[in-house]
Amino acid sequence: MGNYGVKIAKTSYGYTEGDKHLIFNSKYPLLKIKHHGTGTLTLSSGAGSKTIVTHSLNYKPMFYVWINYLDINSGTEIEKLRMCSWRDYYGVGVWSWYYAYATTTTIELDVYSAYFSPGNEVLDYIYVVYYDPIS
Amino acid sequence: MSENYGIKITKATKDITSPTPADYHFWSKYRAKSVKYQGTLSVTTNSGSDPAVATNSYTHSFGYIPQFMVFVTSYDGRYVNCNYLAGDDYGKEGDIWGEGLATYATTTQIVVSANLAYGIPQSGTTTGIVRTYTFDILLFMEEVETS
Repeated sequence: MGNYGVKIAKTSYGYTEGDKHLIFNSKYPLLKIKHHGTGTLTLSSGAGSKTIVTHSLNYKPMFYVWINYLDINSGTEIEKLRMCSWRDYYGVGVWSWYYAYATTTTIELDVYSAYFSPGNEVLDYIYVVYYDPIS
Repeated sequence: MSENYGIKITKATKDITSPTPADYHFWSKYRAKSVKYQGTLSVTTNSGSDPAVATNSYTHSFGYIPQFMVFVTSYDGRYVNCNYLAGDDYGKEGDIWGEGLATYATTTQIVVSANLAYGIPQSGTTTGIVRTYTFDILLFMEEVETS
C-alpha cells in the first residue's frame, strides 16, 4: 500500500494538478514551531549579543530571526525587520553585522554597528524556532 | 464547488469556529510549509590566487521554483542561514579573511556556493583557503509565488 493520504488543492485547482497547486499534501511533513517570540537587544557602543532562546533540543534546529537595524546616517533604529544574517558595507569596509545562529541548545544573536547613536541602541527582534532538525 | 471545505486543527482551548488564523495549528485555507526534500550538499573552496567561487547543486526537477531554507556552518563556527558574509583578522596584523556563502533556486535546481580567502592589503593579493562546507538544504512543496 502506498497510495493514501490527504491532499488539499488551492481554489480552482484539482488535487492531481501537481504539488505547486496544493496547500497541503500529507506526504510531506509540516514544520512544527517550538518557540516563537519577541525581544530586545541592547547595544553598548554599537555592539551586543545574547541568547535569544534556549531550545535544549541537542541538535541544531531550523530557525528564523528578524531584527530592526540602525540607520547609517542617524544611528537611530529603523523599524523594518530584516531576516538575519547580513552585513552592511560602507565602500569595501564592513560597518555593521547582524548575525543569528544556532547551537545544539540555543539560538544566538550577535550585532555590531559602527552607526550607533547613544540613546538609540535598543533593537527589537522576533524569532521562530522549529522542532524540525535540518540535518 | 462549495468554498466551504478543508481541514482545521485548533490549538488547545480554541474553538473550531474561531476566525483567527493564529488560533489554529493547521488551517488548510492558508499556506504552510511542507518539507518536500531534505538533504546536504558539500562544497570545497579553492586554493590559489583570486580563487574562483566553488559551487554544487542538487537537481530537484519540481518544475517550479520552490521556497527553501539553507543552513551552513561558517568559517567562524556559526550555524547560520544562507546567504551569509563574514570576515575578520587573519594572520599578520592588517590581513583579513573573507567568506561568502550563498544559495539560490531555479525550476530544476538548488545551487549553493562558497568562497573563502584571505587578503593582504599591502600587496593587494587574495589567496584562497581550502575548506569543505556542508550545506543543509530544505526544499518546500510551496512555490515562490508572485501573486
